[in-house]
Amino acid sequence: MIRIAGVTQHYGIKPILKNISLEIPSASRTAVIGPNGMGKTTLLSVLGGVLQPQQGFVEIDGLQRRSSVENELEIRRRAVFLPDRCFLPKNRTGREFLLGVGRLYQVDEQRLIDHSQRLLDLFSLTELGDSPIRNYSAGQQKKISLCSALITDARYLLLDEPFSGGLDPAGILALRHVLERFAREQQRTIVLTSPVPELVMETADRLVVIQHGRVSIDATIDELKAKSTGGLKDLLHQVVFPETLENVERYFAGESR
Amino acid sequence: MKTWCRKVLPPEHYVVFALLILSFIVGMGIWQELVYPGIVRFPFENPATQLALAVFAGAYGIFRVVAFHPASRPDYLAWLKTTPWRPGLPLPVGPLHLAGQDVMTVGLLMAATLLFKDNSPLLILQVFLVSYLLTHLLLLTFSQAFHHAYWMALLWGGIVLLCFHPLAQFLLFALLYGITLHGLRISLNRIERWDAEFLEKQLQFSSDIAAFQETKWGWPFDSLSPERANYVASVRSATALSLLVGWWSFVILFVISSKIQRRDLIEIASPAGAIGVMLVLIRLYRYLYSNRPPISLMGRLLTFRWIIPRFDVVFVGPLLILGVEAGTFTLCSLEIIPFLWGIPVMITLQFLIFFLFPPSLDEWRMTGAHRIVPPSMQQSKSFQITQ
Repeated sequence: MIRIAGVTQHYGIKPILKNISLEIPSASRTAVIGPNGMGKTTLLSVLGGVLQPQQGFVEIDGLQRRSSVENELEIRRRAVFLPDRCFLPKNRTGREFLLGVGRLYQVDEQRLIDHSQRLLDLFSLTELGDSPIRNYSAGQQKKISLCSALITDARYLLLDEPFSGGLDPAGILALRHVLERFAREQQRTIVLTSPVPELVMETADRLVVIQHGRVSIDATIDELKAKSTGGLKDLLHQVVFPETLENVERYFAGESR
Repeated sequence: MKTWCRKVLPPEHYVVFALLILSFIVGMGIWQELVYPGIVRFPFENPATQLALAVFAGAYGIFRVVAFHPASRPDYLAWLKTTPWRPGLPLPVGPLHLAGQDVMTVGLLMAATLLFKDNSPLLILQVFLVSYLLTHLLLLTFSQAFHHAYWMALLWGGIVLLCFHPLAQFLLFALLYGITLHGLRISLNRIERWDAEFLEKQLQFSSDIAAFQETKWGWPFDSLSPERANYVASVRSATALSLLVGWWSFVILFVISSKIQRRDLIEIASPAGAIGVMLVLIRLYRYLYSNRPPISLMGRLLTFRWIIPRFDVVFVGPLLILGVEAGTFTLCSLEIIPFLWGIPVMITLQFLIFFLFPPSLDEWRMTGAHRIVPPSMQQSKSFQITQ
C-alpha cells in the first residue's frame, strides 16, 4: 500500500501540493487526473522519490521514503517511477537498454533475456530491438521507455502520462491490457497520471482528481459511477474542467468575461 | 651465452638496434673529443651522453617488468591460466626478479659512463632501479596487491628524501625490492582471481568518460535505481590515502625547503591551497551533480526557510575543508607552526574530510532533502530525450 501523509510541496513560493493525504491500496490501478499545472506530476514525483516534500511523507509498504539508506533502497527495488520525459541512451539498442535497466534492478539474467524479448514483441518493437535507439520514432521511444519500467519487475509502477508522447493506438491498447492484468493477476499496484479523463477511465479502477494542489476526488470508479446521474464521463468533465464547458457556451453565445 | 641472454633481454633485433644507437652516441662523444684541436684527455668531456645512457637504463627497467608481468599482458595472462603453471613455479616467459643478465646490461651502461667526464655510473643504477620498481608498483596496484603497493608508495618518499645520501638510498631500494618480490609472490598466488577485464581497461588507458557512459542507462534509472554509489571509500582506505598524500606533500616541501629561503617557501606553499579548493569543487560536484535544492533561493528567502538542515548539510564538509586551510595558513604565517609540518597536516586533514565527513554519498543520495534532476551530462549527445 502507498500512504501519502500531509504532503506539501513548493518549488518557489506558490505551493503546488497542499497538505495532501491519500492511501492507495495494493493491487489497485489508480489514475491521478486533473488539468495541466495542478500538481499531478509533482505528486507522482513525490511518490517516485524524485522530490522530497517540504512537509509530510510517503510510505510504501510501511517504509518511509528517504528515511534511511536501507529503506530507500528497498523502496527503489519495489517501486519504479517513469517520468513523461526520459533520457534514453541513444547509441544503445532497445534490447541492450532493457537488459541494462533490468540488471540495475537485479532481475534474474535468464528471466531478463526472455522478458525483454516478450516486451519487444508486445509493443511491436521486435524488428527494431537490435537497432540503436536513435533510429526510433517518438512513439517507439515512448514504447521502449515503457518497456524499461516493466522489465524491472517492480511491484509498484508509478507512470507519469504513460499514454502521451506519440504512443499509437496499438501501444495504448497493449499498455491498458498489460496494466490491468498486472494488477489483477500479479497484485501489482499502478499509479498513473493523465490530463485526459477518457484515456484512463477504462484503465483505472480508482481515480484521484487533483485541483489547485488539493485532492478534490478520491474514489473508486464504481463509487463514482454510483454517484453520477449523467454518466461518469460528464461527471469527470464537470469536476476536472468545470469552466471549459461554460467557456464553450460563452464562445458560441458571443459573450466574453 | 646467446641463450642465456635471451631469457631476459629483448628480441635480438631490438638489442642490435639499441646497441647501434648506443654505439653511435658513445662514438659521437669520443669523436667530438678526438677532432677537437688540442690535447685529448681521458675521460672524454661529453656530459650529454649521461642523459642518453640514463634513458636507456630507464627504458630497460620498464621493459624488464612490462614484458614479463602477466598483469601487463592480458594475452599472456589468459594463456597462463590455460597451462599447468601454478604459483611457485618459474614464470614461463621469463623471470620478473632481477637476474644476472640485468647486472650485465646495467653494468655495461654504467661502464659506458666511465668513458666520459662528469658522468655518474651511480645515476644509471638509480634510474634503472626507479623505473624497474615504479613499474612494479603500478602493476602491483593493477593486480590488486594494494597493501604492498601502498607501503611502496610510502617508502618512495624516503627515496626522494635520501637523494643526497646514496648509501642509505640504496638500502631503501633494497627494502623496496624485497617488498616488491613479496608482493609479487602474493599477487601471483591469487592469479586466478585477477580481473582480466579490469586489467585490460587499465592497460588500454581507456577514456574515463567513455567507460562512464558505458554504464549509463539514462534518466531516471541512473538516479533512481536500487544501486549504491559506485565508489565508496572505507574509513581504512580513506585514512591510508590521506596519510599518503600528506606524506608526499611533506616530502616535496622538504626537498624544496632545503634549497630556498623561508620567505620563498610561503610563496611556494601557497598553491597548496588550491588542493583544498579542488577538493571542495569535486565534493560539491559529486553531491550536487543531479541533486538540487528542494526549493528555489527566492522561495527559501521569502518563506523564511533560510537553512534546510537535510539539504545544507552537504555544504558543511566543504566549508570545513576551507576552514582547515584558512586556519593552517594563519597559524603558519604567524609562525606558530612551521610550514613544513603545517601544510602536510592540512592536506591530510582536508583529504580525510573529503572522504569521510558525513553524509556519505550513499546516505546523501538516499536520504537527503534534495530534488533529483536529470544529470546535465545526460543531456549531452549520448542521450535521446523522449517527447
